[in-house]
Amino acid sequence: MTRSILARGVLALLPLLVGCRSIPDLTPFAEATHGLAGTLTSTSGVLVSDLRRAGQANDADALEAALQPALEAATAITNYSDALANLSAAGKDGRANGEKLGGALDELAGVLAVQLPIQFGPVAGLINQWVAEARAAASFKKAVEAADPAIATLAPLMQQVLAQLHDLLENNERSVVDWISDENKGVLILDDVNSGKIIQLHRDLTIEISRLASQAASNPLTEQELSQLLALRAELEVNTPQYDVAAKLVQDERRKHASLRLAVEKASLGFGIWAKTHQGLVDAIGEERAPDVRRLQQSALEIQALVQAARK
Amino acid sequence: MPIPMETRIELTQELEGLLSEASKSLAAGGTHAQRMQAFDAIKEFRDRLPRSIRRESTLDEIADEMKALLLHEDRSRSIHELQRIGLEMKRLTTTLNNVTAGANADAASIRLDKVIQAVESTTKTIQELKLLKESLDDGTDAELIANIEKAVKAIQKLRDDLET
Repeated sequence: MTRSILARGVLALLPLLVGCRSIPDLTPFAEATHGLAGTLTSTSGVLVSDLRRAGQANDADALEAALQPALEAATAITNYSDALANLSAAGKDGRANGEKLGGALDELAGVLAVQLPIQFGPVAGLINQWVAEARAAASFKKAVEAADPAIATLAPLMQQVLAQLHDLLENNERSVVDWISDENKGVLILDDVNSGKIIQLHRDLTIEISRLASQAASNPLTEQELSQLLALRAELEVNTPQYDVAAKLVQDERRKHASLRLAVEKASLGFGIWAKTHQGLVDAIGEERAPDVRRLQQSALEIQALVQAARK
Repeated sequence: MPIPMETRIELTQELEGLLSEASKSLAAGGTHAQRMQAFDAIKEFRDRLPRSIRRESTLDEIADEMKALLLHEDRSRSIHELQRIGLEMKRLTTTLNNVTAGANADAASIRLDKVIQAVESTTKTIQELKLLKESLDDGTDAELIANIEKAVKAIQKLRDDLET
């Protein structure tokens, strides 16, 4: 009886003995980090693939190689945020893991045919609930403090990479649209529509019709000019449905690039917020409160929406 | 309709002016914005060339070449800049990967993964040894051989779990 009371007392004091700090759920932080890093991956993919499509294999290879360290850094960042969420979960799962260990010990005792005064399972669960949280908090603090200087330097570098991607997207949009619209090369980029000739012809026809029409406003057209005007109009009528298809391709490329550029701009801001949120993690754990990841989450959600819009 | 010589001269002079601006943007200190602006101006010029001029003159070829050069140079400068940033990133990535490995190892330890694994392996080993003992006492040869194999495997697993 006395032993039982003593044991309960020790268990009650355990949180005070090991410290009672707990880690907030870091899944939202990890998810937001994935969203930011994903912008780098998707934008790089579009740029390299468009360069290959336009026959610029050397530039595509050079760009792919130049982006490799940034993509590796993005993977490192997401893995790190996952590791923090993993630590947080390990602390939260302390009771269940303790019970699992206790259960394993009970089973071992059963195999050894040892008579135990108590079942290990529930007790180990109770003890480990606090021990795991305290250990997780200590490991979390150690990890965040060790990573913070690297992250403080890495975030601005990521912003520099994104600035270059922004420039490259502007460059790429011109390159792709020019290829689609060019009467000599357009056919190479499209499978079934010789858009270059269609777009250029549409432009030429429109200019010539407009010239003749404005001439007709001041002086009556000769018979030859009138027949030329009618022929041009007939040609334009044939051209217009195909032109609409080709023009839509150009429009789609412009829309896709606009979405990606906006996503890159937001990701750049997002990395700034990400680094600040990370700095705040140490303070949050010290003050036993959840870190404020709302702005980061918001930023990641907006980026995801823009990248998805660009893919449509 | 033939294009008057005057128009041809005007277009040639206009292109010369555009090429001069483009060259400035390609020189050291030229910015991405300047190169894109030069590209847009030359593209606009080329698009408005009359059809007959485009068919017979080299103006459009020169404009096309300059457009391609502007895009290529602009891209090369971005790639060069990315290479520079990449060198700085490598060391930081290594640091971050090390922290991640440590945090994941800590998480596994906090989850008691190894301890639980070792206890489970111990239990399994003892069970296999008990079976071995039983078949030594009164089992057939086939059972004995099978149980020796199981016991050896269980001991090896226990050893691995304790060593790693």
